[in-house]
Amino acid sequence: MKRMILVLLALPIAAPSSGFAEVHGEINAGIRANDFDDESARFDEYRDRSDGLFGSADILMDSETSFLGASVENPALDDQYYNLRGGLFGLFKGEIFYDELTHQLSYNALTPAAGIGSDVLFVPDPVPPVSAWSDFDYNVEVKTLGAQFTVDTHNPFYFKASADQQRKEGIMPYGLYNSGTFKLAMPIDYTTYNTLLETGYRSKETTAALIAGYSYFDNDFDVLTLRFGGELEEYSTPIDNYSYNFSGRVTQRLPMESLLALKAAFNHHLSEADFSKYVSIASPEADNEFDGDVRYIRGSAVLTSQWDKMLDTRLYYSYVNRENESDEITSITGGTRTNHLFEYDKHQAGLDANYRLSKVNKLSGGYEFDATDRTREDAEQTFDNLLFAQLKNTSLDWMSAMFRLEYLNRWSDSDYSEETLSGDGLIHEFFTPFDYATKDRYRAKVAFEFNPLERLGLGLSYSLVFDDYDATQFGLQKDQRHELYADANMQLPAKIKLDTYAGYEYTESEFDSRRFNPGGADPTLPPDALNFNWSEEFDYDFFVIGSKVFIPIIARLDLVLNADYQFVDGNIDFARSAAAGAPLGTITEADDYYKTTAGIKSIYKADDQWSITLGYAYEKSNLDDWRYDNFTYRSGSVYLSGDGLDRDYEVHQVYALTSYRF
Amino acid sequence: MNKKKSILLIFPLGLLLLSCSLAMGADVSASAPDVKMGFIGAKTCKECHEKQYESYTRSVHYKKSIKGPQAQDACETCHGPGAMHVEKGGGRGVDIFTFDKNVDPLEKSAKCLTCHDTTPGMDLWDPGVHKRNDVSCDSCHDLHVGGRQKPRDPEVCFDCHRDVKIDANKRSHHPILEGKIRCSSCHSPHGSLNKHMVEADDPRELCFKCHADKRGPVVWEHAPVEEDCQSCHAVHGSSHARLLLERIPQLCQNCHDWSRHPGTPYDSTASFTSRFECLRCHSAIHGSNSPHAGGLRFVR
Repeated sequence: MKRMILVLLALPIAAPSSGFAEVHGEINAGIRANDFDDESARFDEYRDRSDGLFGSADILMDSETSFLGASVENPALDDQYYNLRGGLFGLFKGEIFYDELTHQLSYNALTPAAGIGSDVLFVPDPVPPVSAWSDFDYNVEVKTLGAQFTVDTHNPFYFKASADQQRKEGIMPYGLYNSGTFKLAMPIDYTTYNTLLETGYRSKETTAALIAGYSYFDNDFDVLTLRFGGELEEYSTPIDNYSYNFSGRVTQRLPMESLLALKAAFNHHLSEADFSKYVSIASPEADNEFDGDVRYIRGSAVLTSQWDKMLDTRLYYSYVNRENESDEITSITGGTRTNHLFEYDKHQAGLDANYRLSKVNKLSGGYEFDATDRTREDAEQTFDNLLFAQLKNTSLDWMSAMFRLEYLNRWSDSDYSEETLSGDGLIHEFFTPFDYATKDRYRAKVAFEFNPLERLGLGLSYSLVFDDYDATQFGLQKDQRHELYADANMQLPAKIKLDTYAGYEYTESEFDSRRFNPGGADPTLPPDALNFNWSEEFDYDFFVIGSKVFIPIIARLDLVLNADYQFVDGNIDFARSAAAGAPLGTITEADDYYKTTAGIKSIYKADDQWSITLGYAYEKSNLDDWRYDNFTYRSGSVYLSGDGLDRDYEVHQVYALTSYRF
Repeated sequence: MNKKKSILLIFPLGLLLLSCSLAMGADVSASAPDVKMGFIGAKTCKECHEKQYESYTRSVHYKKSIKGPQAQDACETCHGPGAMHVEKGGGRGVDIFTFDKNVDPLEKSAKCLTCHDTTPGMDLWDPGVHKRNDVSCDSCHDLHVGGRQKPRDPEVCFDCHRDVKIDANKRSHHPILEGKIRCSSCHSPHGSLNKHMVEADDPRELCFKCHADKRGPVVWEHAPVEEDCQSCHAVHGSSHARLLLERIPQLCQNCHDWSRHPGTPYDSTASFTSRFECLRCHSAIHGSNSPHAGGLRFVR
């Protein structure tokens, strides 16, 4: 990394002597300070806005035959990024980059465990009082080093290669179920290597490409161990694995401005789990191993045709097969259970067409059929029939309008035989998972784009999606979603520019279910306190609005103002028979949050190259959810870390920035 | 695993050598341009369109080492012959091809595809969603701004995909606004045969590029995980934690009912210890590798 920084720093020095005719770029350097009324890891999610110096640089040098560029963002900060790129025009180009980001989840979580960050956690029994717990942060650092290279001459053949290495290190919250229930820490020490190669041939009539990839994932922690007093429990972690993929595609131009495109792909995922690393769990296999082996075969074909200026069509088909050749394992600890090797086949075929009714009216329509077969009892087969129609009108110079209707009919079937369902399993006769359930979906969308003046643009869209699971007794019953979005950009007198956007979403779902104790799955049984049917309605309002205004104050001095606000209001209503007990209580805070950002900055351009920016930024975020009401770190045998508590912040930031353009 | 790591080196090097030898072979330069009627040359255009001409000279299209008509015919490569336009005293769209909003998007793109139909990645432009929805090259690429033709990603995408812009702004989101992921990191805007035009054979394979820890194969599989990540996750952003489609436990209960806690309504009268979501115990929700039977329920 240090070498990369040195190379980047050397670029501007080397440029004048390297024969590059043009050198463009921008260098920014600044300083900032934060004042926190309330501090949280949420403020630092994916970014580093810490007090002190910050900056960026982007340099591009080019000549008649070649180019060389470099970018640096936030050097020495937790979200730093470096890029070095170059190439010879008409021959090749390449890039090497390094990127860091931090996934900040929570500061100051508490734990009774020793060994946080390692794969062995010790919790004393009895668990000490919360006052004796130690604090730690949940976060994961992601560091990616990668390169890309493309050879693209005027030759029909081209070649592309890319490779990257991604390191993830840190601690994630992880629930461990033992004789107590603990929210503890999963150590993260992952390395993923990806390589991808593509070579191809192209001519005006025919193209072909071959792509090959290899990916390897390595987890340094194979087993997570919890020692609770004298007890020892072991938990699995993400498995070391690797994957090959090969694919090829061909396109061929045909008469009537048609194009036939074909693709075939093979993905092979493999893994190895070494059960000998578990000391407390008897291995189910003599060789102490699990070999994972899953293969995907995919194929697709598309034929597009431009019949004449009025009509074009697309006919397509695709196929996916998942074959699971992994080891079948029968556990001997914690009960006798055999893993299920999940497989599926998917077919998709469709036809859509665009027909220009006139120069300003375009009618589109299509039909798609999807069929899926799974080795899954509760969702053995799914058949989708999708129809859509769309009309687009551009008859007015200053407006375009689009109206779209979509209808999906899904039919699914389980592999359960009602005669053989018994005990708790009887619930499968009545309950259907939402993502495979038989349903009708209706979708409507209308969108407008207005350009009444050259310097005024407006956009407006509304869509409604309604799912009706009318064949479901227990499970999701109805689901609807309204989305309204608008935006505008305009240039006002005195060269003032305004960009603004707003959005409103409303979602509402109805859900029915059954609460029962063993033996009480039958919904026709008379309700009591432990066996009853119940229903729930959850709805969310989401609203967002944002604006940015650019105001030239005097010559060389500009002012930029911005403000954004968003909120969510979630509610969950419950109902059950009075015979089952007291009415269930409404949750009025369900992932409720609001976030406000605002800023003002003045930009003084000393000349065409130098500018100085002084700014102030404000950000406030707050989340309320019923589950955190009266939060306590320990309750009975449940021990929590408080990772969800660290969510609110309020920050004032001032900054100064100098920019030099060349 | 050492042998597997060595494949990382041997496999690409072999293909690199093979492909480079093909790609560096005989140069088939663009044939000499025909004599063109009505062409007046870029210097004439510059007299009225100085700003546009300057942006052209700063662009890749100006480079003479890039063989193609644009290096010789300059402005008229895309805008067509200018003689009649000049003769009539100029004016927007007067006997000249412009890339205005009311011009047929197919015609506009056809200008670019004259040269770029053989650019790697453009072979699937015809079946792609963008072409079929009247998106033309100039909808995203502005050749007369600065010296770069690459669109501002994600801003340009957000101009049409308002719903994605809104999602990317939500509390739980991928780092798109933070500049760590671009739309083109995941999608092929120039067309693809893959679902949602993703830069992988399948949306799940795309997710594994950064989340290979979820790839498995695992001993105990959670079927929806093996079929579609989007069964549970809203990939562009969500109001709920972890990019989930719904709050937990509602999301889990939409698929699971069984005796005792899976089917219990967790209303506002539920005890404190009951509130804390399914993942407090079912942590290995993406699949478990434990030899313990608890792996079946993702608690080991």
